[in-house]
This record gives sequence, structure tokens and C-alpha cells, in this order.
Amino acid sequence: MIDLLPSEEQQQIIDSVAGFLEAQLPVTRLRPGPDGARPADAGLTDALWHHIASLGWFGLGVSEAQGGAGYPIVVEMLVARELGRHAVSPSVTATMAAAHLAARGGETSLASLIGGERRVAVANRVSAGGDEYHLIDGRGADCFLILEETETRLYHASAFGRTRPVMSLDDAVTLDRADLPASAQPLLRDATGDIAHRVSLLNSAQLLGVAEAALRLAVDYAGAREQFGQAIGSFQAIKHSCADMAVRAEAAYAQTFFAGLSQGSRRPDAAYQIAAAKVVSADAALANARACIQIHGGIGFTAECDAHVFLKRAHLLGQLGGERRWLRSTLLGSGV
Amino acid sequence: MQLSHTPEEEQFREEVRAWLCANVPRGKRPRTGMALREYDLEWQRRQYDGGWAGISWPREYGGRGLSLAQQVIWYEECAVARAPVGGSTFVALSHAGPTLIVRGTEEQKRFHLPKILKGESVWCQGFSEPNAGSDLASVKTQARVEGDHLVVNGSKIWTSYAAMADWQELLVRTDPEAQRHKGLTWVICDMHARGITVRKIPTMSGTGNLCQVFYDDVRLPLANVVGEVNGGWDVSMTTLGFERGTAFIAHQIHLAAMLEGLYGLAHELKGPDGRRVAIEDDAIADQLLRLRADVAALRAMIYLSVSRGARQPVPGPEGNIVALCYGELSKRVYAFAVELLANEGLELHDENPDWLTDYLDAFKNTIAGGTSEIRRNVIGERLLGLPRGGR
Repeated sequence: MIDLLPSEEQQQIIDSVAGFLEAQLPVTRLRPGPDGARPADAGLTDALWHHIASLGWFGLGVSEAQGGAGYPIVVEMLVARELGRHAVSPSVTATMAAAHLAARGGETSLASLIGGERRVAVANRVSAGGDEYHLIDGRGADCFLILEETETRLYHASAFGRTRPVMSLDDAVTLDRADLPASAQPLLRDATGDIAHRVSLLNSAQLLGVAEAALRLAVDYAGAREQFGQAIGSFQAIKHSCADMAVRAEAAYAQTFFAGLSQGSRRPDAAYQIAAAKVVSADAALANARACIQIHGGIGFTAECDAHVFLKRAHLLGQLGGERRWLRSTLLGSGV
Repeated sequence: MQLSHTPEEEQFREEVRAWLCANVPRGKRPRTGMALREYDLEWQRRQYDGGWAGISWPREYGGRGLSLAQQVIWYEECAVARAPVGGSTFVALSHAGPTLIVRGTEEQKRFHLPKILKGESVWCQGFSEPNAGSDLASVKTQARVEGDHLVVNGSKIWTSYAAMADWQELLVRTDPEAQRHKGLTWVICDMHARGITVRKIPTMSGTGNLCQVFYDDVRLPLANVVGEVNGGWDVSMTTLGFERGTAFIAHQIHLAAMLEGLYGLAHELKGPDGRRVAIEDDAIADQLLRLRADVAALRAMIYLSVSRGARQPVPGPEGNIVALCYGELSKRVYAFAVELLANEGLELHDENPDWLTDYLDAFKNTIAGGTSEIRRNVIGERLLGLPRGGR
């Protein structure tokens, strides 16, 4: 039996997460104020971080025996999809993944991750072989999670040196460059691929959320905006662009959750499906965000339209959760 | 959400695999003519005799009455075993049969369904006309009621396999006064009836199964009407729902098998530099990577439509997403084949005729059964709720 649609319980989780994010972190929070500036933390305050912890999100997939809720990975992905829709910091899913890393090693730090006392952010190597990393929303983070091919490592923030701020393309996150000496020892490490797969799936789910949010925004506008005396969505040029967005979102949804289920049931082709999910969801997010801007016309080019938020988030997430070399070796390594 | 096979499903897969291994026809399938018909019907008969015909059809009409999930398993194993799919039995198995099951009279079902399953009849579709393609509701082929018969005059076009078909799902205008889709009737047409002329249409791929059909006072019993007289639009939407939904499963799995063939080819053929094998070339590797990811996603999209199918027995407009995606992707896969073959692709010879013919043939995949443009209209209007507008 294959079922790619949410169960009733899963739908309730989706509704409650979506409701919470819509109330606390609506995408409109990222619109510039009268002075043209945005809140530096993109609305994700310490208080809100603790609130999220109290909802149990950081331990959603950790076993009940270890203090989590014991849900399968697809439930974590359903949450990640909503996070993507609302362009919430990737630190949330990084902390979710770090909890698994800690749980696997039977680490005492697990409780502080689940409880929201420790905040994990993403560190991403700038270029292959180098020791420079991008720290994403890293200011105030206790630890950094690094994914490289099938290996994940968690470092204490103090392992990074020479941290200097850079301007972020996605200005809903802060971005720093920092050095990680080759001699730095990780707090935790997993080379089995299990955590790496989770990180990649959570990224793909966020990309899916971006793709779906851009679709929704474009369709709402196309149905409301009138030119030549009718809604622009009645014109085939716009309608067909929206239809293509829907196809990409559907492909990303199906492949991402099929990959999640493959991972959950330990199918031998899980890595292949996860890599395919990354490729398809990254394309869907980027292509849909671009189309969304175009469908909005002039307003789509402004900062007050949310379309650019999705474009920038698509670029950011597209760089995470499965690098090119891994995608190639996984998708082209052998026959299916 | 779940992905697990029950012990019954695993058992079913084992049975299917063993049977296919022993029974899949070995010879190359003829591309055209009565030889193709005989090949396809013989394969269908063999499936029936083995108890494998109509896996998801009701038992009372000779089917197995099994789940849609089991039907998917069947098609997956067919792909692994390289069993023939589609062809001249496609319309009967994937449109006419399912439409009759949902909308046919008891008599129609008892007569036609067993014949379809036993490999005794070939069906073709009679929807499009020279002046009614994408605008299907404008069909003009006339049928007037005379006593207990319909008398049909006009012409249908783009009818695959008409020259070898026994029956046709025919959409005719029974009320010339009614507006567009209101005066149409869906009727079962006997292709051997007096007054029918079939003209073959040569195609760009050289496969000769496409036809135009002419009707000159063709008499069809009123008992052959499916649904109500003047109620044919509704029935044809049911038919097209099947075409755009589950009916594509076999094609999609076939496409995945084709891409795997290309993956192998990329490891054998020399790449653009003339030294390394093609897969070592970055541009080729990137294209193959992308196609593999997209074909994987297509499979997941089938599973998604199967998931929906389990909750709504008659397919909705969502099937258009899969059909659109399949059409566009299949053209990309075959275009990649031609690129890989490079200069070899200019020669039709024994080693690569399938790639080249399939490449040319794939151009129909974004036209037949609804063009990509019409599918985008349906997705935009019926799934996304955008307003209908000028065409």
C-alpha cells in the first residue's frame, strides 16, 4: 500500500503548524518598515524559539524513550514544508536534525536541543576543499551543523574563527563568513548517511514549501488583478505559467514525500530517491519563485511584494542539503 | 502517508514475476498492420488464460477485482520483464472498458467486457474531427434517430488503429439545434458496419496506425448508446478522465525503462571528445542526472495519483498533471537519445531504429488525448480555480 497523502492526524498537525506560523511568523513580517529596514532576527526571537520548543518541534522525530514525540520523518518534513512556506530560518530544521545526531550518540545535550536551550544553525562550506564556511543565521547560535555528502558534523560555535559579516542575498537570514580549521574536533559526527539523508529531506521539504507558497501567491494575484477588463489569470499566457508552477509543485511534493517514506522504510534506493527529491524540489522552488515575480508584473519587482522572499530563499536552500558531487554520484552512480 | 507492501501484495508481486518470466512474448513486436493486431491480441489472450487480464476490473465481468495498488505492481513487473504495453489494445483496456464499467448498460458490459479481456476485440477512439480537435465540444459528425437506430454521417480523424479495430467509442451530434456540448451522444460503433471507410494517414515517424474514418449513413442500434442520447459530453469526460489518469501508468513505467536503456548507452557510446564514453562528459552527465530525477518524480506522481484514486474512484482533473508531465518529459528523454547518438542518429539501421522512431513518435505525446496547452487550461481552471477566458 502506497499512500502519499497525509492521514487525518497528519493533516491536523499540518493545520496546527500552519496556523501557528501564520499567526507568529507571517511572510509579511519580512516587508520593510517605513525606514526600509527589517527586523534583524527576521522575527524569530528567543521567546518564539522557546515557544516552538514547547510545541515539541525539535524532538518531533526523536523516540519517546529519549524525550521526543516518536513521529516518522515525514511528519518532520510536513513541519519543514510549512517552515519553507513562511521563510523561517533554516536553524529550526538544523536543530531538529541535530537532535537526531545527539539521540544517536546517546548524548546528554539532547534534552537541551529538544528543550530549546541550545540553538543550532547551519554552516555551509563556501567552496569544495576550502576551510571557509557560511554561517547562516549563526549569530547567537550555540552550535553549527555541517552536511557534506553523506557525513554530518556538529561543532561548537567556538570552533569557528575569524568570523566576519557579509551581506546576504537572502536578507531574511544573517550571513557570516568564518574559518573552520582542519584540526577542529566536532562535538558529534555521523558518517552512516542516516542524518545526512534527514538533513537533505528537511531541506527538500522546505524547498517544496517555497514552491507551493510561490504558486499560491501567483494564483491569488492572477485571479484578482484585472487588465483589459478581466482577471489576468483568464489569459492563457498567465494561466499556463500558473499550470506549469502547479506541475512543478506536484512533482516536488510527490518525489519529496516518496523519498521521505523510502528513508523511513529503509528501502535500498532511499539515497537515490532523496537525491532526486533535492534536484526536483530545488528546481520547483526556483522556477516557481521566478514565475511568481513575472506574473506580478511591476509590483513583483518591489520589496513590498513577497515574491522576492521566495526567490532568495530558494537560492539559499538550494545550496544546502546535498551538494553537486553527492547528487552526481548518487543519481549517476549505478543503474536503477 | 505510508509506503509498505502487505504480505498479500508481496505474494502477489512474486506470482506476477514468476508468471511474466514464463509468458512474456519473446519476438519483436510488429509496428503496424494486422501483424501488430495479432501480436497484441495474442498477448492479451495469454494474460487472460493465465488469469491476469483486467486486474482492477470487477470479477463479474471477467476481471480480477484487485486493488489499484496491485495494478501498479502488475505494470511495474511488466516493465521489469519487458512485457509489451499499450498498443492496439490500449483504447479497449484503458478507456472503453473503464467507461463501460462506470456508465454502460448491463447488456453492453456483458457483451463487450469479456471480449476485451479475452483479446477478442480491438477498440479505437472517435472523438476528434477535422474541425474539432482541442475544441472537442464543436464536433459535427451527425447522427439522426431513425426508429431504434442512429444513422451517422461525417468524419473522425487522428484515430489510431481504426484500420484494425472492431469497435469504436464514437462521439456524435444528435441534436443539431443544441449548443455545443449539450447535443452530443457517446455510442459504440461497429467498425465492420456498412458505410464506414477508413483511410490511413502517413505519419512523421513512419508508424502507420493513424487513420481518418468516414461515415456514410452508418446505422448503429440505439442500444449501443452509452449514457443518454444527448448526454454524451458527460460520458466522454469520464473516458478522458481515465485517459489522463491511471491509464498512463504503463506508459510512464515504459519511459523509465527507456531512460535506463539510455543510461546504459551513455556508458557505451563515445562522448563528444571522441575519447571518453559519453557519461564522462559534463553536459551529458548533467542532462542524464536531471532526466533521472524527473523520471523518478514522475513515478512518485503516479503513486500520488494512485493515492488519490484510493479516495475517489473516478479520476478527477488532477490526472492532467501527470499526463502533461509525461508528455513533455518523454519528448525530452527521446531528444536526449538523439543527442547521445550524434551522427549515428542520422542513420536508421538495425541497432538504433527504436530510439529514432520513438523520438519521432514522441511528438504525439503532447498532442494526442489533449494537447499540453489544453491540459494547462484544465489545470489552471479546474485545479487552480483561475477564470475561464478566451482561447
